[in-house]
Amino acid sequence: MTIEFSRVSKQFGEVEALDDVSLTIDDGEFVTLIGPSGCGKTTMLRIAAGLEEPSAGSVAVNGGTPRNACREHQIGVAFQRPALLASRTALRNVGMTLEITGRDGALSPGDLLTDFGLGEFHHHYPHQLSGGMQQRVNIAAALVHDPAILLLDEPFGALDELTRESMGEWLGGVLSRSSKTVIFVTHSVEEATILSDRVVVLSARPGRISEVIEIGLPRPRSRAFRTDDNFLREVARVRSSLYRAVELSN
Amino acid sequence: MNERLAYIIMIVSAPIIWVLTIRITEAPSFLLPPPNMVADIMLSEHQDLLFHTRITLVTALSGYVVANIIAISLSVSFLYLPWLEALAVPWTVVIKNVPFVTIATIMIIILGDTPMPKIIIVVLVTFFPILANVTKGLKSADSVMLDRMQTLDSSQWEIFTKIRWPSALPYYIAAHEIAFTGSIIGAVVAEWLFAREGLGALIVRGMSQYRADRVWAVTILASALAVGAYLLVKAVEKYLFRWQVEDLT
Repeated sequence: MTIEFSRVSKQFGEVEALDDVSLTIDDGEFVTLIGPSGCGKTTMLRIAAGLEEPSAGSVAVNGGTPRNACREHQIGVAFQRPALLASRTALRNVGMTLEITGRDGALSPGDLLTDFGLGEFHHHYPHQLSGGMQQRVNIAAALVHDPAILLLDEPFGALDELTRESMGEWLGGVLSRSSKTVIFVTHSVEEATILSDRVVVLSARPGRISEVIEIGLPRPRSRAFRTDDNFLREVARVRSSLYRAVELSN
Repeated sequence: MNERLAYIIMIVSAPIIWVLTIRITEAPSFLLPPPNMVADIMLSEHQDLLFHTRITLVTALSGYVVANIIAISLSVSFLYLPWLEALAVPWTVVIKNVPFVTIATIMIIILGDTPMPKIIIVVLVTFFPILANVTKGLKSADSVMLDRMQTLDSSQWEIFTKIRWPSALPYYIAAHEIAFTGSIIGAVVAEWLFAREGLGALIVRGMSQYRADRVWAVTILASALAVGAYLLVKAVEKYLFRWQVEDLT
């Protein structure tokens, strides 16, 4: 499924979060939004999810509105703070998505959690799980109804550096086996580079697209790849683009 | 210290303190009756006491059920009709802060010695903690959870039953801790103001006959009911939220 932003602007009162943003995301593409805080990357993601309406312009998800894509259960979302109910076990938290969407075409919550390395934790409550594990349950809950589109807003932002790296690697592995269209919001240049097909760099106040970088790296990209020269070159390219965007913002 | 042990220590030491006070002050038994005298009354008049206890309990529970129904309906209405909440705030502030004995007196003047004024008093005492807590609890639902539900195109009913109500439940149970005990105290006070039956009426009767032993018996009974109500809520809470205490094993 494609996602198409056409001249999207968004104001929150006086604040101009997005100004005339156009971007087309292809079917099965992994696109990362990166930029200084206040650049509107989360707003873009929330508009694509149908959680916010643009003030001007429009967003089309596979030709229809985002709300329509939600109605067809084609969208899965995961945010930095896991959307888990404290009174439900990991398994029942993942199962809750299916209580809403129905089981048609869905994956098995148990198999998914086991596949995510949580085989022994099906019946644990969120407070008994580490931050990384909670986020895996959260992403499982976002994926279990097998949506064509996955929207991830800094899912690893609250995790420590090492957990974060391994979670990024894990997510890359999980998604390489699917053909989902992904929008990923992050602050981490390395994370953006290793996961994405394209990195969209935004500048702030107002939020605009400063640059779009194609990541020309082969897949799969494993942990060893993180010290590879080609990888480091791409990281440097994204980073200097980000610095230019930060300068534009001030 | 273990909570159960602390309760046992209290139950054992209360009569000891009681007896010691009598010994030290040399209070005559018509002022401060010794425990055995009160126990005798409780045994010999147990039929009478149970009859009045039942009356008090029925008043307390009816008022409590009514309070729950009204408070929960209002909380849910507030959630979906914010203007109604704005409209209700001054009313709740005023009604909550009028001394409830004055409202009780007015009710008794209007309605006489019927169950109705007593039930209304119980409702007034127990209604506000439930309303305040459930209203707050329903709004405490996690925003990321609500966002996810919206992207799944879930109905308002699903959002309420799966997210909002479970979020409000701990608040609701906490309200019971105050309100359920309050319902028994409210019923006793209502009967004490004006009634011919119930534990509150027994207190008035005992007082006018200078029967301190009877007043003490009723006090112990009423306190036991209120404490029992509190412990019952605690037990329900412990059962409902048993998952909170389970740890990684």
